[in-house]
Amino acid sequence: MAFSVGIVLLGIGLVAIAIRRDLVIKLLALGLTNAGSILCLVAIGDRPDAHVPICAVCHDVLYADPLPQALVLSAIVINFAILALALVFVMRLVEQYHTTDSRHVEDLVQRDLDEGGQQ
Amino acid sequence: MRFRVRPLSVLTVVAACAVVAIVLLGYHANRPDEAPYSTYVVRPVEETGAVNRVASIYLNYRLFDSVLEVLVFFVAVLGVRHYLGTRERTAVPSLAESEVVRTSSALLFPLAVLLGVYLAALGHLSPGGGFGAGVIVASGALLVSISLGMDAIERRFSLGTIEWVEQGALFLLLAATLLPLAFGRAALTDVLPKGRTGQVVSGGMIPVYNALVGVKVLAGSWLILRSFVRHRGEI
Amino acid sequence: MILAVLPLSRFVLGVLCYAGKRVSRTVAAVGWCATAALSIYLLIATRDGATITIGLGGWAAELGIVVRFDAVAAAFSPLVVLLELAVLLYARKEDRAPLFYALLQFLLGAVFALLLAQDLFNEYVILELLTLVSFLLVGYERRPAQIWASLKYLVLASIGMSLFLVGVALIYRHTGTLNLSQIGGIIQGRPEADWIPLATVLLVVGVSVKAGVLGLSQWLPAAHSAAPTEISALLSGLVIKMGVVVLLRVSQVFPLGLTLQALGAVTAVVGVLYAAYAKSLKRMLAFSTLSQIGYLVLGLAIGTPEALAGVLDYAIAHGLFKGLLFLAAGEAARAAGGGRFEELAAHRELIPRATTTALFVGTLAIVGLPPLAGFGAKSALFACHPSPFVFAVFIVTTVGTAFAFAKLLPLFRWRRGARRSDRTSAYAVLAVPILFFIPFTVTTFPSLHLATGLEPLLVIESLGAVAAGLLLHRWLGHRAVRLPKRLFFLEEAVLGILLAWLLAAILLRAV
Repeated sequence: MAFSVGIVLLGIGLVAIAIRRDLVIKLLALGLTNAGSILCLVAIGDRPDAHVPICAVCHDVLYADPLPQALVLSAIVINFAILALALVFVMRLVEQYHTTDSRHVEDLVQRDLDEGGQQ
Repeated sequence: MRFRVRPLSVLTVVAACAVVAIVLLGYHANRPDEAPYSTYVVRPVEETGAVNRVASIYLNYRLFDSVLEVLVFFVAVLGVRHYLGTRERTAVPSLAESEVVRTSSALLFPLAVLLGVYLAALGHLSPGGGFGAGVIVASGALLVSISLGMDAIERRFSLGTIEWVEQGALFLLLAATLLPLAFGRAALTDVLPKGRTGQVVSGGMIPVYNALVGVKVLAGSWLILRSFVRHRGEI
Repeated sequence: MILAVLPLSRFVLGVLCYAGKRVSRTVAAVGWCATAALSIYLLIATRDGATITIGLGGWAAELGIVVRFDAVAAAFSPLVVLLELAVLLYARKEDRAPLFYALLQFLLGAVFALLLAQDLFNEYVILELLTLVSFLLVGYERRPAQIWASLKYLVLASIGMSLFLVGVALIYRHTGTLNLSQIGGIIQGRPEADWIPLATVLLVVGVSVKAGVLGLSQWLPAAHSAAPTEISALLSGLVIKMGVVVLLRVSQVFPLGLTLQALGAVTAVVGVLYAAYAKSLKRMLAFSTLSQIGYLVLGLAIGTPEALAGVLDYAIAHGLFKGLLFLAAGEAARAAGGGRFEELAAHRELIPRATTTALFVGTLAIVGLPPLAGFGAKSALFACHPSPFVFAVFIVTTVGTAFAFAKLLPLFRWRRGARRSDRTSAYAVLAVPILFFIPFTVTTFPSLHLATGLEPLLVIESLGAVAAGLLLHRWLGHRAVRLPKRLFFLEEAVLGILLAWLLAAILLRAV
């Protein structure tokens, strides 16, 4: 169930990146995509009636798989780093071009390249 | 909201639905019958000394991944600091206007510190860990800057100090991972004694790693927050 | 034990580079020396094809992370050493800040870590680190074009890695391990298991975004052409190969069938088409990288051990001459005042002689003139008896590359009076192995058993392809064809990822 939600979030994020023209919304959608994939990873470790994997002697009951939870720690930090840096770059672009529309930015960048020449 | 239905958008939505459908069908059609593996839970706790199996994974068995991830965080801090632009407003960021916000923010800070220290110190016994601890204390610092202003913090801990703390913590983390190799020990984490299971002083190097990571994340998060606030000019 | 030291020490040096502002260049130089020494030691230790495997921390494969120095890592180590030396020599004259050197150390540390990696999630984290560091380096000069190019790179790479992560989740669910060798063992036990195709598609598509496969890597032309010169050289020469290395590792474990052939063919042909009609030198080089990656992917699709050796050979050769071309292109563009072909031709007397020579050597190598680097590697690939379709794509790409690079002919009129270049040492470091490629590879990689040898048939084929390209240029080169640029915008790139995923799913019968 959680895995399905994760995949759907992934899909919604992908669609939003492609369809919405505002750069900040694209970033939010990117965060959503990453969150969806992280949810998929965590949901993989689920078992029926799972217990928290904190135990000195772990034998009697069924414990949730700790490995996906540990992997997800890294994935969350990476997601945070990506969003922070992407936000910084979007801010630089907005400062330069005073627009958050990705099409306009693409056209302005192309115009700068055609005029500037150095590439 | 103006809707202009572009054919490319329709194609994207259709393709995404197809992908999602294929993945979901594939996943549900092929669920394994038996309960998935639990390699880590059945290991004896004396191997790592950590009762929290998740901590034993990311700070002992798979320490390399955590080191790489701390590096990713460090690169993020570098990027935010250096790419945000040199136009730092020297104007003092203004405080929140409401007295209620200022007072309650100051009250929350000691709680945040306490929670952070608890999470980092007992990360091997209960859920928590260095990453969450660092972020919580950094949020607490942000609360302080809401109530007292960012200059209050920077008078106490200058920017240079925080930079040194961050780089020092990262350097120590890398050294602690590398040094056992220099002395011929393959194991990265059995330098400190494991103590008695369930005690605070147990788990070998895991609490040390938690502390280092917590300090690093705290310093790094604070630097990121500070960069954004200074760039904007107010909090 | 050394295997862990190699990447970790680079990271330590990176921190030191950043912390010690005035000594960053010295630290970078020390890092290079240490890496070169370690690489030579490792190469000698694995001369006979042995591999060195350690589990980090002493844990076994199902518990911890395993790293291994195998033939692939041995093949890339000299490339890394040479490229790094060239970039350091070039950057010395550019007066880069300590941040640059620190990021460079992280980049190279991540490259080494990836070469040694044998664990799926380890590869994920390293690939993300590589993405972030190269993203920062592409936008280093903070011009709007660079920022936009690197932003597109980050978004697309992150999407790819999300798909990769879902694939890893599925694989872990069904095999219980993340170690590639163990997964390979389980798959060989039951190759027709139902979960394999879906997980394979996710994994392959995810990593192909970073590997430069078209349909997925629309970020490449913008990012590689907009980046600062040394970074373009490193990205096209080295970093993109790391994606191919992961693809290689994945293809050795999972059955990939026709997918690689289809993707590789599309990449090679479309890349060379855009390269032929590119308007500026760096852009043409970036598109050419795309098409050469298509070569490599097709080589992976052939799948035999000789093909694998050929792929490694070609990856090294391409790294060398593409690095050389990018370094020379950067200086040429700066000297002539612009990167477009018209500007370069108009101001060609301003370009230093060493730069033109470097461009000349690089061009000869990339079109595959014997006995330079490109020929040696291409003959290794051709000699693997590819299927007629693959062979046709090879020929088309070679002719197309010659056609594209014929645009540089006006620059090569030998003339006197050009200024001296102060980056000759950087060019020399890369040019010498290119010129003496066949002896170089035979001595350095005896275990690869490369098919080297100047067989007459291959020589004639190569010369014929080059001649055909030149003739084509004479007939068709004057028409300016405007190919659609919309293919490389962000939204279309996301659509491209989705469509490529569906194509791969159909080809792998995951539907």
